[in-house]
Amino acid sequence: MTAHDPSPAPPAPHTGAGLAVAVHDLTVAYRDKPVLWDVDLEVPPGLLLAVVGPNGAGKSTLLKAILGLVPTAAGQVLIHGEPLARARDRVGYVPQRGSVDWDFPTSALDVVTMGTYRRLGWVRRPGRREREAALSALERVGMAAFADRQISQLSGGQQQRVFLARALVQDTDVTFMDEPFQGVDALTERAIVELLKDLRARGRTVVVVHHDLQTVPDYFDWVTLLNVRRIASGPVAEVFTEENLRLTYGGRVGFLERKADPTPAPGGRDDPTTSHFGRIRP
Amino acid sequence: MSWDAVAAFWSDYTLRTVAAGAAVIGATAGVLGVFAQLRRQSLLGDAVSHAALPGIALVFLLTGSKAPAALVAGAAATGWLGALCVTGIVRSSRVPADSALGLVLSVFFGAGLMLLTWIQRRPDASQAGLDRFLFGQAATLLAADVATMAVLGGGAVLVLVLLWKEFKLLSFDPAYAALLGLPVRRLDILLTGLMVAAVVAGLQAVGVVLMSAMLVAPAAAARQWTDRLAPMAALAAVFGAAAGAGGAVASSLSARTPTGPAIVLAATVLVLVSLVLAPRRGLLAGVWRRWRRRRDLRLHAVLLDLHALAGQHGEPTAAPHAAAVLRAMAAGGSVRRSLRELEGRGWAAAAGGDQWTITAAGRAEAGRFLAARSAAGSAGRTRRDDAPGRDPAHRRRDRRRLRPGGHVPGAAAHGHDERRHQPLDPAGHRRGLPGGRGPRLAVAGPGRGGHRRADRRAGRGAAPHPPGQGGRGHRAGLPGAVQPGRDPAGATGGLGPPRHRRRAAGRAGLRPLRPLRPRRDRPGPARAVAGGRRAAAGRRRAGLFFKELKLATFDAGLAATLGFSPALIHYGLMSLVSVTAVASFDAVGLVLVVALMVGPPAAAHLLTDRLPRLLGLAALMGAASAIGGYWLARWLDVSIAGAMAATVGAVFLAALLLAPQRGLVAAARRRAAQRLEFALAMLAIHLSQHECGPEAADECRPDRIHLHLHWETGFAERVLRAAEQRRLLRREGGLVRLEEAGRALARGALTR
Ligand SMILES: Nc1ncnc2c1ncn2[C@@H]1O[C@H](COP(=O)(O)OP(=O)(O)O)[C@@H](O)[C@H]1O
Ligand SMILES: [Mg+2]
Repeated sequence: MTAHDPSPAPPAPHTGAGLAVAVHDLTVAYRDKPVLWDVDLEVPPGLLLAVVGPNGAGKSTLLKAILGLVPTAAGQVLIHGEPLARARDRVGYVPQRGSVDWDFPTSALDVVTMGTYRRLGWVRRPGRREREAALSALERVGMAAFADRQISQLSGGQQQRVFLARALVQDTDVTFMDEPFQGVDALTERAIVELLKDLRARGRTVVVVHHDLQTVPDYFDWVTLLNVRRIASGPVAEVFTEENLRLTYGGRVGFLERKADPTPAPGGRDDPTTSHFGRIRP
Repeated sequence: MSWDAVAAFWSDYTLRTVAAGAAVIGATAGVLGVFAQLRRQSLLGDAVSHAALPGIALVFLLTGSKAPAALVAGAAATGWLGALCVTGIVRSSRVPADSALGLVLSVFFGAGLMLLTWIQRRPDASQAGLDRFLFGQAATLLAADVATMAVLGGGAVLVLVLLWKEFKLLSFDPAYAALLGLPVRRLDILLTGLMVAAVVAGLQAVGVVLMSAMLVAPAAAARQWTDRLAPMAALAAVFGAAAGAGGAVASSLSARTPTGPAIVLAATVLVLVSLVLAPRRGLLAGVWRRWRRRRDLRLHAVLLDLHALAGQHGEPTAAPHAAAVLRAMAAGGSVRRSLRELEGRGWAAAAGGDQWTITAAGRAEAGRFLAARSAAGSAGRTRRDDAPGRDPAHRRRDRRRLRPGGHVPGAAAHGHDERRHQPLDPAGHRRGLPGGRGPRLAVAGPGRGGHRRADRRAGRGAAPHPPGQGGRGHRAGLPGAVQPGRDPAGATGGLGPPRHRRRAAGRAGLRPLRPLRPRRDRPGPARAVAGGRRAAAGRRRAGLFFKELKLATFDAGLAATLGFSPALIHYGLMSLVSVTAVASFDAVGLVLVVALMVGPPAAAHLLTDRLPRLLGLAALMGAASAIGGYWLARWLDVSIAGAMAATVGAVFLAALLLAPQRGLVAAARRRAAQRLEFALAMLAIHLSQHECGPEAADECRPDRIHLHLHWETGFAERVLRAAEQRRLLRREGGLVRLEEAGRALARGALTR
């Protein structure tokens, strides 16, 4: 991890002041089935946060609820201290892959240009400036050469990068990404991580739904463990513990074998450094 | 068309008006059809246009007016209502979108037919001409009508162009549109409204039965030629206008051809041409690509052989080799032809006496090819992993294999398909509508053998009874209608689910159809016997395939229970009507087959889950609505087919509202009860998470709880009281505290 080590002051309750994202008592139900119960989440600005949890834990739902894409049964969401309605210019979103019609008659450049639509306002059309912004975003993700491709003629990783570029061109304070690493090759994964770090260096906050537990300590500053309710949330070093993972993933933690020769830690089991996932072999 | 006719056209004012009107309709429907297709709503346009018929009839019944504006308003009203019904049924019940569509359009259309035949019984002749709304009569267009259409259609297109980027985003990625703060719901309604406008604008010229083809065909044809939205819309407008004008003129020239079928026929030709000839997506292009790829492989095989031979001898390039050797090395194909082609490219040279050498250019090419191949080989796995168009499930699997142990079991296969949940997702509600397979296939439909055969039969069955003269003759829609339905598997051609399944399921689909033949006197005795034998065989086979049927239909719901898509069946029927160009009341009886095929099983599916009971109930309800409809028609002296369809609609509506568990009434009652239970659990969890922390002083104050949970004060008070009554919590020192029961409730809810 970098020298970047955020240790924010304890947040003022419920005002969300000083926080990039403040979620309070969020409950979401699809029809009669609750999928998130009373979730609290505080994300200080300028860091990379991973949201991890088993399948169906409600990670995607959490993102969608924060972004107002699914109705909430209860709770409150503040982005930089403001309700979503007043903070729309400050949030970006990279949806889970496969949520659009790939055969839609549109090019990569076109898709990225959509990131400028809000700035443009009603009726006005994207002009040269918007196209240039979109092109430079495509360049940042290494996709400039594919600007004119119809999107179904891109590989999975390339498609993912196009949607990343769309979020980049929006240039928001907080960006939510739903499994940006799903189905991309190692090269793309590294490129995306570089982008994330670049965003962080510029003071942006990124919330990423992530699946690969091994890379959590390498890529992220903070982590939220989620399974229907919030299990734990905080700096990786503190909350990414075996105990918390067990709570999150239930009994299915057989993969958490210790190293053959673990250095006995003074604090024993509860010492966060011992059970830090980075020391646990897959 | 002869030269005279062309000259006559330019001098003929009427013809010019007609052509202009139809072109305007075609262009409007083409442009809006593009968006309908991309949002998978093409078939919704079908429901809209059929549902417009009762509106037209009602307006005439109530006001006695035939003013175009009034009729169009009525058409728009019921058309819109039909669209709402489809989305409402899909959203609130388990009836799949396809079936909802087929049901709504046939029931509304049946009601319209009933009204229309009722109107025709009236003694005065004032009703004459209403039936032109069935199949369209462009020849009756006046300049004023064309002006109305131009205003309506032009207005719709103008709105579309102004809000182009908003509608584009809405169609492509509604969730992102919502994120950017666009009023997705309202835009959605507006776009559907524009589609309704385009449809009703065309009703007089094209007719309710075929109008939706104008939404589908030009857009499907245009998609073949381009990968960009704006050019696609422009092309669709051009195609639509061309089909409209061409069809209208053709029908005006030959006296008795109705316009609708002629226009749709023209549009279908455009689609077929596009399907075959389009540069990248066309059939020919595909064949050409495949041929080239095969030729390249063949050439390179021989080239590599030459290369290997040359390398073996350690000679430069000069040593020639006999074609016979190469032939022995080759796996097959004509080596000499390949060699000649290689020579043509400068990669090989003939050395006389059937001896060949590789040239320097050939060596370079072979080297390049080998390098590319080995690169592809080593990168094979990652490349495969990343290949476009691969099934995502494969990708996931590959990925797991690639990074062993890199994932948490279960977490690695993040498998659930978000689309499946879409109908609930406010941003994704458009997914609820069908049509992924719709447009292109639908138009290609009439070309299939099954259709053509059925259509000839239907054409014969439908003797030309001019409406209003044939006495009872016009009610004979049914016998003709039964026939294509008798072989549902055949009627779907290659369009449905896999063949074996379709066949098995299609046979079972016969059962709800049987009640269609309550009148034994109609088909001749021989036919009845044959039909009975076939039905019995069908039943036997349905019995044999019962297990497969059950498996195949396990989760795919009603559409799969029937083994075919009702919407496609409908399209097939309508296309064949347009092909025969036999447009009469009899032919439209075909539409109502869909009602009897879809309605009873859909209603039964709301009542039970068990397949045997479902089949029985469907047959029962089918019989009941057929007989009921028959008596209704007798009693009112209206179209039998229409009355049957309307009865089916009533039966379905009753099931939808009153079904003991899935009915809307039961569901509403259940939801109210659940809301309280849910609130209690929510309260318990909230308290259990906060009661020990320092924040408890605020979080657990009874007068502040509604703030935290964002409830209304009254509701929070009610929930608290209910919780106290059930001893889930107690009030203590100005705070509420959980009792053990409350804590258990919270735990239970979380671990569920
Ligand atoms: N639109 C929806 N309608 C109904 N249930 C849904 C919907 N979306 C998700 N769910 C359910 O909610 C739960 C959480 O889903 P999701 O947030 O996608 O989980 P994750 O992203 O953590 O895998 C799952 O059980 C899923 O089946
Ligand atoms: Mg998810």
